[in-house]
Amino acid sequence: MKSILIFFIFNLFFLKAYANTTILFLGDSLSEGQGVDESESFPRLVERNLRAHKFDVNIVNGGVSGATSASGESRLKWHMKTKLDLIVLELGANDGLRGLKIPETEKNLKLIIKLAKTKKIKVLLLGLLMPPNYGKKYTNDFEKMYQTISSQEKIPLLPFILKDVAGKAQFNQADGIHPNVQGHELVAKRVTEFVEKNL
Amino acid sequence: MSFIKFFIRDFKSDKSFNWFMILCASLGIVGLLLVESFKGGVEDKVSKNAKNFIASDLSVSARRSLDPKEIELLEKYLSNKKLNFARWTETYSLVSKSNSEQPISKLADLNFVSTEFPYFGGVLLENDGFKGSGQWSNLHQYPQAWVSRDLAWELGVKNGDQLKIGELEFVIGGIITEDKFSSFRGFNLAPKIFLSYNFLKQTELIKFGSTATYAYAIKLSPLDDVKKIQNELRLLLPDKTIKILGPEESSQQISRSLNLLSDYLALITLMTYLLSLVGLYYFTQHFLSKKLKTFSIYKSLGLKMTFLFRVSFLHLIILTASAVTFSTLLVLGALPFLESFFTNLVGETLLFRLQWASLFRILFLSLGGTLLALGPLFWGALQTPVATIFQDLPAELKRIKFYFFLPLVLYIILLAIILANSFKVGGYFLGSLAIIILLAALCFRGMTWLLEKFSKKLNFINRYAALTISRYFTSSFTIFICLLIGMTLTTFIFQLDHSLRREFTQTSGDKRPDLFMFDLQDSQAEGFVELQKKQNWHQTLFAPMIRGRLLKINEELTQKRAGPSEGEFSTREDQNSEQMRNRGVNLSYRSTLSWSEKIVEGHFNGQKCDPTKNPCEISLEEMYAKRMGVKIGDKLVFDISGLSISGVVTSLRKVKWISFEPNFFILFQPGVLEDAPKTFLASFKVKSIQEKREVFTKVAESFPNVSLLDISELVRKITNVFDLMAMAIKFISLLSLFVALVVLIAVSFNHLDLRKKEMALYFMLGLKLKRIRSIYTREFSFLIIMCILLSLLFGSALTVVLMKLIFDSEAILRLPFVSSFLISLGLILYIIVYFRVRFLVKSKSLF
Repeated sequence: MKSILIFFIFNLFFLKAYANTTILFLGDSLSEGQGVDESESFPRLVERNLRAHKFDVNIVNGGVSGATSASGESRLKWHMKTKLDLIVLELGANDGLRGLKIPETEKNLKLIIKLAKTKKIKVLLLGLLMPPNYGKKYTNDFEKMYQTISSQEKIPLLPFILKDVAGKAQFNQADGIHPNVQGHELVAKRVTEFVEKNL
Repeated sequence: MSFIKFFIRDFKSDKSFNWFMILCASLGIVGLLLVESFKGGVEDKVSKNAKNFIASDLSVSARRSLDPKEIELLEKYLSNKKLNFARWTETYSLVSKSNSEQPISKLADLNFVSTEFPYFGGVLLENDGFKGSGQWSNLHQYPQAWVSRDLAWELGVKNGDQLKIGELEFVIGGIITEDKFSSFRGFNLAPKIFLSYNFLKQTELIKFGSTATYAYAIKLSPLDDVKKIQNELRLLLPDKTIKILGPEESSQQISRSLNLLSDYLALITLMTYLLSLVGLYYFTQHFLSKKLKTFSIYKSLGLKMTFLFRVSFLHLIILTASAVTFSTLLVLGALPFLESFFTNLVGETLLFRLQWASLFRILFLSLGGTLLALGPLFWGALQTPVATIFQDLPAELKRIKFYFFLPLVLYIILLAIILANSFKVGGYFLGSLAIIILLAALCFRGMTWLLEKFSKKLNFINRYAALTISRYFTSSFTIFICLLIGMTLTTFIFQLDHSLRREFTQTSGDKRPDLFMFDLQDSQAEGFVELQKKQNWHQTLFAPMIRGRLLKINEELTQKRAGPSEGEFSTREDQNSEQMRNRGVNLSYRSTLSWSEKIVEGHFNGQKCDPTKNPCEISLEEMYAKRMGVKIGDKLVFDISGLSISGVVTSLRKVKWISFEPNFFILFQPGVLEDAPKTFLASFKVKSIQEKREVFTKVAESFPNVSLLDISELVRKITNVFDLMAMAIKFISLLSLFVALVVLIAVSFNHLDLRKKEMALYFMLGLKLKRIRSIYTREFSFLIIMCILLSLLFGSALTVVLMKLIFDSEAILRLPFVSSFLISLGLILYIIVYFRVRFLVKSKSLF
């Protein structure tokens, strides 16, 4: 009887310590995988990569096409109805593409991070850049915004998730903005390394 | 006697027939020529409007810069073909007023154009008038910007002020109040600025990673074949990310409405021609009945049937060619007047043109139809036995077999397919007409049987009229069919015209929105509704939008299935359908349908549902349902931000595609999606520019994250085209109705003329004029009443079926109006019979 009890307690401890980790990708069309199959979107590929690296993770793809940072807080509240261990925040691109004011985007992203922190959920920030046609000042300010948030909120930042993908026709769909299947693979590789390092 | 000599003598002996036949055939041919020239004019106008959208005849564009090899291939091709082109690069950027203490930055749609731009269309500048082709030189002299009025207002700038665009300062050289061009992205996320391509490099906006549309606007010569050049360019630039678009493809709405108009015109051309053929057929039958004895005499003199047939054949060819010549001269003479009339009417210059190709087509069409429709009549008449000479009463054409007309039937089928350029349009129309004729024949047989059976119970006049119909079965049936087809087509034209015009225009005032707002957050919705109420803005739609992904249809996973990879699909539709299955979709919920939606199958449930008790109901847009292979009763499961939500499809909706309202493929019953993360969409109709500005300002102040799109310009451009099309449909319908009216009157005249000896005989036998007139008017009344009833039924059924099958739209029946029209037509025919009988009896033509 005693041995059974010890075995049960051991198992309980073991399960708690190594139970699978739920990661929410709170993002926009990039996370949603607009134009590609959901199974080929980079969050799903990150899940595949992490599992291949023996991480027991469960990824929730919270990507919504066209989403701006303003929607992040309410969407996070919805997702927080289930247990979350980590949030990978990928928002802001649509704010930039629509020319919205950068302080407004920054404020929204910080609100999301603060909400996560209140629930003791770790946040990883995925940075984006604006295309050069948006003008030097705007693109610089936009890039700095992620760095500022990262340093102020003390959260890890991957500066540009579309590095080596953006601007290259072979990795993008006809719209020139959204990655194709090959593009998502490259993004996933980079994001996997980033998540793995911070998991 | 030689063939020619005999022919000339015979030809001269039929003077009245010759004149009547030329006139009757001309009626249809004039209709065809007018339809052709009008069609050409309208298509030309629509096409020019569409050319304004892309500023050229053809555009080659891509959302990436073309590589040097592609540029070389394209420019070499254009140079070999001696085609001019303009460069046009469209990109978005933040622009701000220079030398301002607190510069406001606004997103703008920048259009860098080369000196050749535009070939078509232009912009209207405040204080500087319209700038069309060849009038843009000022823009290229120094860094100058032509800025849209909305943006100038938002930035607080005016002519002469400076704007910082990228790394270069531009002077505002013009404020645009109206522009004819569309955006390569379908709609404008931001107001436009036009700039010279010469200064693009200095702005430093276009470099690695920039997002822009790089386009070549190509000017073709009038003799160039757009489709051929498109195909050749496609072979040169096979990458699908490069779009090679003609004017019609530049707008989905225009493309669809042009197809609709083209189908309609094909149908109406065919109908006008068939109507004239009906008149011609009946008239020739009348003529031949009178000529039967002549043919018998020729035969008794030893002339062979083939010889006589050749004579008749040549006769018909000459008459038809004369009719075409006469009609062409008449129409060519009338076109300048028509042009000026319509230009005044619509306020736009319309050029009616008749191409040689159209003329030859109509000549060929008329000859083919005449010979195949009338040839069998002549052939049948020539088989009349010699003994007919000794008959007292006029002989009837009884030797015509139905299979004589099989070539005609095949010809009409072929014609329908050629004219409509579609098996579908031609096939459905003719198929429906064949069914109508069959049903009409059955009804007529039934009616004569009933009249015979109950004739004994009728008074003298009615009995005699009833028995005449059954005794002269062939001739009565012919006129019955002619009247019925004429009236059915009249009913059809009226109702089709009305239904199609409703497709292009609004019914209860123009509800199309001017502004479209998106990305309003859930937490902002209440505040926004309050603001909208306070400001009294006319909101046409306010809808929640939830993003989801379809996971399962009836428990079967919808995600990418094993099968062909991209480029291996057999058709584009298959590929689209597969891609649709794999993509995210926007869902919504609401308790009532919008004005632009209509349930076409099942029932819409706007009541709140309780997902714990029953599965919630879903309404799908019918084309989406078709592409996804979903039908009523199917269970769908969606992934909504990680949660599975299911529902059952209970209705299919049709969305009015010219409403410009934002619509959703999937609508849930209220009660299930309310808690899901969502944003809101809204659309507004504004009364004035001031109100539009007010909406922009207040929304920007209170909801800075929200995006507002001004779609009024786009809506206006496209609705101009629709208005023109609606007018085209109305005019051509009236033209066709005129042909129908004349044919019906001519048919009635001829039918009475056939019976004039009979009338004279009654008169000689002592029947008073009043009685004789009563017999014929009563006989006609039977036929007319039956035709009116049946044509209302058949014409309406034809409208409903063809609107659904060809135009994929709903028919709007105008039964009270059409009934009144047909009754008036019946009265006119009655009056004609009334007076014609009097005239014929008085003519004492017994001998």
